[in-house]
Amino acid sequence: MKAVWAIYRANFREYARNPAVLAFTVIMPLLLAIFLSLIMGNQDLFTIDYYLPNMLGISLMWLGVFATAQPLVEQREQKIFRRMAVTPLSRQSMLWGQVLFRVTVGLFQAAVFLIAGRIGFGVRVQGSWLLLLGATVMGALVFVTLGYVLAGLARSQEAAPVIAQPVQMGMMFLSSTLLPAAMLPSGVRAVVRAIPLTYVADALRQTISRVPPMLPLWVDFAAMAGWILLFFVLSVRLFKWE
Amino acid sequence: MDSLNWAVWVKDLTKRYGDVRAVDGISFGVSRGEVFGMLGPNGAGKTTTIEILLGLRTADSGDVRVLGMTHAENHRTIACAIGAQLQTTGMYPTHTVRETIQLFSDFYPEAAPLDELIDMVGLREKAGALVKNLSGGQRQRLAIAIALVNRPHVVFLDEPTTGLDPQARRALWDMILSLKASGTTVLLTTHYMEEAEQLCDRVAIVDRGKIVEMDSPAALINKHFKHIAIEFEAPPGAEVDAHDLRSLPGVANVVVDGGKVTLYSSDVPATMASLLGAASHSLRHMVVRQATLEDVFLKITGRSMR
Repeated sequence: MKAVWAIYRANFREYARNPAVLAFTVIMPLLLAIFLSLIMGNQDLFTIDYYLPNMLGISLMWLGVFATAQPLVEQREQKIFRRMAVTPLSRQSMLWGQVLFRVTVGLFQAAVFLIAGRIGFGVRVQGSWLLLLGATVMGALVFVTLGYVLAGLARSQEAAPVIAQPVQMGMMFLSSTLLPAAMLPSGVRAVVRAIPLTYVADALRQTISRVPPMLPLWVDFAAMAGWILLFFVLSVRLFKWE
Repeated sequence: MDSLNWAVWVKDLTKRYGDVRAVDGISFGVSRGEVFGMLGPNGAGKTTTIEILLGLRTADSGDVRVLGMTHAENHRTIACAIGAQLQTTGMYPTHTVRETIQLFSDFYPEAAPLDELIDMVGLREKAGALVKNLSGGQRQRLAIAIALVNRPHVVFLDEPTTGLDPQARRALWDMILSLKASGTTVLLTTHYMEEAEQLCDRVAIVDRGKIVEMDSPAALINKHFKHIAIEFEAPPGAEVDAHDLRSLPGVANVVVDGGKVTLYSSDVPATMASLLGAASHSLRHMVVRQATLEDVFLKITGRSMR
């Protein structure tokens, strides 16, 4: 337990002391939400109610890329996990510490978004707080497990962005987070359903601002659970500590 | 003694990487409280042996025990009782020295006081500095500190002084000697002969995955060299006739390594006299010295270390 907590704290330190990662996981998506709603806000649909939850979804995705996949590949190359393997620290303790840290960052991101939305735009949580908490934790886990898969696929620090960037860019544009699915060409619309971010964002929209749902909430939760399971199984197969 | 009485015990260890026999049937024991050195060039199999002893790699065959235990059965117990400094010690770059030591202390059921460790490796002034801002020598000392957080019974040091300046190397030697004084068993690898001579109770000379000699440094030098070494450089382009040199009075052995010639003599005045008399080629950079482990290595393997 002491070791899990030590890993948790160590990861937090590295996160909090790295301004680039902080910018990607919190500040950038928040600014995007504000800019997009200001630019597009004259049309009924594209208000802060639409973009705040969506950008929270994207910030959770960036948690998976910039605060999971990337540092994991870096730390593997720096031989940090290898050094720890010589101590009594177990792999399970290491993993628990890391995942708990990342879920905490996800909750921190949600808190920042909700506070900024409330103060700046008067956005009030419309749905249940419990469901919102569930959607945030599940959403974070979807992308954190995806981050371990990406870190497993990337054999080197140079390869990490090559693999991660297309994944995150593709998800951003092909999910319904920047534009509603209805506005995408019909051929692309089918792809929307195959993207994890679609379900995370839909769940967040429904619990935060009651934008008309794309899918029933339970479908979003079931889909997130499915993605977590899939990514977990894939990461067990692909991710290597060394 | 059987395997239980040794701090480290290795029997018929082998490890291949593809077609390369990195470790090719190595056996040795390190008794408790001993400083044992594995000496050899890069690629000799030293690091692979250490990594197997640490449980980072599995052996292809052979029996490997640390404090009488195997990693397969008692990995955690072994991990609690040993310390290690790997060739690259991974540490979080934006942690301070103090935080790094604290982090590793938290992995063990019991740990030495933080300040004691910081003072032991002389990083008091750098305690608040970030790892990424440390010099190579400071980083290495921090690596040693985290190898000692659990007051280990056995410490493994893989090339602890490679890349250090002479002053930092001396400081590290003192640290290793004080570990020995406190009864800690130390297994270190090095490719510095001088280091092995200064620190080790016994050394194993390793070449191409095999131990070619194993004894105390003094015994190895005595066994192979009852002689004084006379070293000089042949002028560029000059032919060195080893056979001629061997026929000089007192000369027991001649090694020619590039332009560098080493005569091992049992009668230095006689050898010197005839060498200087017969100096058809001028003798440059001439040195007369005691034989060292370097000479032993050269004699056994026919190659110099670097």
